[in-house]
Amino acid sequence: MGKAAKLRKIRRLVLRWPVYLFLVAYTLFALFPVVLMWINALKDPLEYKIEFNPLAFPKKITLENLEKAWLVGHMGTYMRNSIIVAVPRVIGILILSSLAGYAFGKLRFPGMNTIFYLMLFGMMIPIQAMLIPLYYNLQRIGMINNFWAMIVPNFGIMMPFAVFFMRSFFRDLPAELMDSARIDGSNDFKAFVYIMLPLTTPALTTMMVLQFLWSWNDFLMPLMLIYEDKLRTLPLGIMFYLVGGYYLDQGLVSAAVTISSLPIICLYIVFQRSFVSGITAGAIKG
Amino acid sequence: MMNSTSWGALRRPISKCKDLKFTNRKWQKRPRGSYGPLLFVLPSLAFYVFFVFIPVIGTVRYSLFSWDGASPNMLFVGLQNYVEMIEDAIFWKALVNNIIWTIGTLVFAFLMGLVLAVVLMQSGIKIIAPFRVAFFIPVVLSLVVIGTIWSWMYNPEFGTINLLLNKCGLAFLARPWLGNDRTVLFALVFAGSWHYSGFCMMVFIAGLQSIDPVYYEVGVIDGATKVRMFFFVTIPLLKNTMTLLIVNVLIWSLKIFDLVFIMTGGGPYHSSEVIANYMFYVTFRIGEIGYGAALATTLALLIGTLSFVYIRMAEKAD
Repeated sequence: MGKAAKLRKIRRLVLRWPVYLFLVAYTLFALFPVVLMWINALKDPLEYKIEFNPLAFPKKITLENLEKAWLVGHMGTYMRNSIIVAVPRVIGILILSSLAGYAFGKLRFPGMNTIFYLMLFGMMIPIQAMLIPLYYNLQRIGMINNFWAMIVPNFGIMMPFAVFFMRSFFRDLPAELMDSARIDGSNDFKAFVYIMLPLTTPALTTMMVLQFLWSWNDFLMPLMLIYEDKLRTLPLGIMFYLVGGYYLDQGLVSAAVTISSLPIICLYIVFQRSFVSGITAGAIKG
Repeated sequence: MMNSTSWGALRRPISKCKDLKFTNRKWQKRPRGSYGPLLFVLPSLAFYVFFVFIPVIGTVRYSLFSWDGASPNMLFVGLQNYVEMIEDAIFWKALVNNIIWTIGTLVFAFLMGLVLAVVLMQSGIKIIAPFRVAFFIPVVLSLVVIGTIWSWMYNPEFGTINLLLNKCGLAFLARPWLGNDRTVLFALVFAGSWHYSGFCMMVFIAGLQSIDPVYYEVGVIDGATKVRMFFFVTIPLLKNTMTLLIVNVLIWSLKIFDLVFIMTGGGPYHSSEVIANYMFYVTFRIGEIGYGAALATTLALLIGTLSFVYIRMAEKAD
């Protein structure tokens, strides 16, 4: 019996190593391009001139490229702009969508269904469908080439999905909570702040992470609305690296990619669950 | 799950229980609700109407005009822009490319996601979490970053892919991936699928987790092999997940913009053109606002229909 069990164990190990091999191979494939950039960002620019080999490990680790990208390449400014845009944008969307989601999920009011379907319509159409008039409307009200342009329109554009998402969470909370809050004499707003909101923390975290990711990676709207370098966010900045004269400076491009990809990867490692559930839920928009 | 028949009475809100007599409650006397809650909705509704609803109507309106974006007079041309679109070879090229993009994503990302999910969840291995985390990393990166990385990898002079091919003795395969109209679309779809397959994997993992293990136990009793169980248990039970994901791939492939814009700009000679990029090019590079709006409206109609189907199916699957 002992021998048979041992044999079975060995057999299982032998059968499993191809599985692990496959998984490790795919891990390499998934991470290789990113890690390659990180490695090249740490390389001495002189190494390129001697031997043109992006695959080689750096002989001497240097922060020169990162420093140059941060200061000369304006990555520092782009990063700051990305944060300046993301924070109010995420907070605004969270407040607006949780208020509306609560009303749709737990309260009743005249015209509720009409308004809800009106918003659901917004979830089905792509950003391209509003791009052109949005450009001219925003130009007219002066919301172009400034931070507002990257923040305020998204309160509308992101709202259908955000409201839909929050609504389903509020709807699933037990109705007795609302009833007991009312019996205890709180109005709808108090019930929202003190009873419902604390219970939707998981949904709010997911929403926060997802909106932050979308804001961080947003490209099309800023591309259309921003034309001054000092206002560019990270994706725009990197794009102009490629279009601009830096293209051949390998170290600088890899440093730029490193600077913009590291924060979001770290954030993902911390908030894995929220990222996964958010991205799978938000797949239709995004 | 709770049995809904026995707990139903308790789980129902008190306001809906006719057998409990609280008829004097103020809040109970408003079956249609009051106007108060409207205050919660109004702010987001205002932003939505101003930044989404009105612009969408605007796009449809613009698509009926001929306008260069700057001149004060817009010329009403009716459906002329749409006629132009149907006669435009580049539009059809872009649409075909979007379809190729869909098929490519289904082949690379969708199948890869399925394989990864099944291998992770059902091959009986112990270490799962680190692989899952690693495979999802490309999903969180922005398409601009991905485009930059892959343009760099595909570069004919110093690109890593050609370098690797040379080192493996496959130098004859090395080529300017993005500069050749035969390989460019394939190269783009491959980079896109690198990003998208982690997402597919996560969707499939969620689908696999919802399968009742009893099916597999029965399969074992009946003496089915793992391969047979995959084809006759897993695949049929993943049918809903798969349809949802396929519609999602369609929507994603129609929407694709960033990658194409960054890596090729639709070139060389529109050979990697997709509708979203063509629309941007026509509107903001050439300045034919009306025609751009017609393209945008068409794209919105395609995606809107698919999204409608998706939302309906997702609700049904819940």
